[in-house]
Amino acid sequence: MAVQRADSRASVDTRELLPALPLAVLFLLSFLVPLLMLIFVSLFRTPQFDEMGADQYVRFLSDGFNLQVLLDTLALGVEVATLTLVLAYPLGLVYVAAGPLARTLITFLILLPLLTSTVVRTFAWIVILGREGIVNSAMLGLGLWHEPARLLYSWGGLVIALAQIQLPLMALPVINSLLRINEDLLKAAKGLGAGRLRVFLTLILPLTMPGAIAGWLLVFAAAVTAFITQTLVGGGRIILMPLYIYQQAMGVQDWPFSAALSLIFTVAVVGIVTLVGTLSRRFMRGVDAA
Amino acid sequence: MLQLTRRALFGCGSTLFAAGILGRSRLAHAAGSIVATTYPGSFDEAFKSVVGPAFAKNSGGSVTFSPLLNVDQIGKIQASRNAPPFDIVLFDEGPLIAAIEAGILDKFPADKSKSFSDIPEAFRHPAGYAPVITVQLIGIAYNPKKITTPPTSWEDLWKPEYKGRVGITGMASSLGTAFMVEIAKMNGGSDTNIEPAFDAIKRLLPNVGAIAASPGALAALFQQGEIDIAFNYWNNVALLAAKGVDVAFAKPKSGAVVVRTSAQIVQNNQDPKLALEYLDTVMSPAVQMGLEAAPWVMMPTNKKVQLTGANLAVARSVDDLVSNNTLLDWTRFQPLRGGWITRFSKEVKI
Repeated sequence: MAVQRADSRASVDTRELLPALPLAVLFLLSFLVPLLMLIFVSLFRTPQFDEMGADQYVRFLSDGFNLQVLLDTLALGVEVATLTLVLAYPLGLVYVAAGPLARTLITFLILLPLLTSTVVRTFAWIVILGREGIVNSAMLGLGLWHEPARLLYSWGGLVIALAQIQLPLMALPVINSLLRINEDLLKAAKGLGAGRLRVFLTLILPLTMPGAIAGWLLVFAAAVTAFITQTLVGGGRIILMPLYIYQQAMGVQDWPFSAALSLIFTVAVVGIVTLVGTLSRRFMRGVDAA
Repeated sequence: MLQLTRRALFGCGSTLFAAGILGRSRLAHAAGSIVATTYPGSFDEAFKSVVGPAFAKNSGGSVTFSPLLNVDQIGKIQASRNAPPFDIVLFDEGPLIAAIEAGILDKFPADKSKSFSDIPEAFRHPAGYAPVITVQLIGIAYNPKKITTPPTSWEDLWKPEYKGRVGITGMASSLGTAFMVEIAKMNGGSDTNIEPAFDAIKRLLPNVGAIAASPGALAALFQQGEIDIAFNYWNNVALLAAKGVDVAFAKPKSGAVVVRTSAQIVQNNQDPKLALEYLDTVMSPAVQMGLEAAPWVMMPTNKKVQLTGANLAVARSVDDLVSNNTLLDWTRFQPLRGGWITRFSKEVKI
């Protein structure tokens, strides 16, 4: 009986998979094939594609600058993702506490930035952070600053701008998790005398961890690869992996090295995402048990 | 990741769209149609409004413009050598050398050309590739409201009063490379000995307020009030000034550095006859006069074209342009350029 069921399910599965075939083929052609080509290109020793060898990887590892660019990029992702996490919880709690009309309004405000292009949102930040921008003008006008501060083309400015731009990716999963919390649990905790902070730390935070981690990973991956925002808000001063790869491929025309850079970057990002994902799954099993 | 997906989708979409256009133009081959690249921004606008209609009139064919950066073109052609996505490409001097080395260009049939005889020697290619169609002059851009005495030499950038007000850009652009070579020569180096330029640029760092990612971004910094002085292209400055931005152009007493831009014929193009017709159109006095006029103020290379308006502030004539400014021999330092670009990113930090 069990075997039969398994069989019928398998046959249904195969047929059900058929409609997914075009997508699978597209994925194969547009992702797997280029990836293999990238690996192939990265194994040439010179930009003239003469001989093959692992020179590009040796070159990457033997120069501290390369490693620094990679670490800076990953650090940017961690900082942006963590900042959005901190920003998303208050937003989520307000959403959950709000009435239906306010909820619709908040949802609209969260989704609104997604409807405009990244370039537009980035330029808005240039207007806000510039030397003659809103922040500097306000602070100078109020007499709080005596000379304009450099906000644009700075690390802090880049982190803030990226955090705002990627906030929807964090807010939506966190709100989703918050909405799933069983209200009886909160009432029980309060009835047993737990304060607000305690309720947040011991109940809300652990129960929404899956959403938070999903959001964190999305924001991390989006922030480290955000070529447009990194270049426009960070300028030529802050060299991160996407700009570095572009420069090596297009400016220097060193395709093998830029292919190696791309692969190393991909492996690093996928590595971190896998690591955080694995750790969180272990954590979530604990949550389920509770 | 959502952003990534959207960008990927956009990429996919635009590729399909481009494929659609190209597919159509291949089908429309009989009617006579070619694809030519332009540089994004004012260059593209100028070519669409001046060259497009003139070409249609001269040849009866049509041209599709595709705005692309210098180096992006080489990659796209190399990816599809037998059916290249463009028939005519646009290169500055450095990338032109790379394109010739990559073997993606055809030589220019000078004997069949109608406009070739009007082009001065300095704008003809020594190895027989297509001639220069316009030049970009590099001088000093400054904010005349903040800097009331116009700068007169490159050394002015180092003046202590410009602390935090100077803008620069890296060597991945022709602009950055040409500037660094000029600075090297000024400080006892040469077009192959860049060391003195790196020493000089490090001494400039206290003055540097911003390092832009590209020449266009460098010009935009004036608009945002981030900087008051920078090296930049004459065309960028003239266009911004025409839009009401507080920016003016000063030619250093040593002469402006001239970057020669040529339109080249791609190997295996769809229609060699139309491609030549296109180049002849771009080089013709009528079209060059159109491109020279406001608001485009692109420098002509055809001797028959007189300079007018704002262009007269930087040169008296096409001959004067050649004789009283600095031309660089990019073949001498092109092989070193890759190393320089990487070194600039590594060492020039504020």
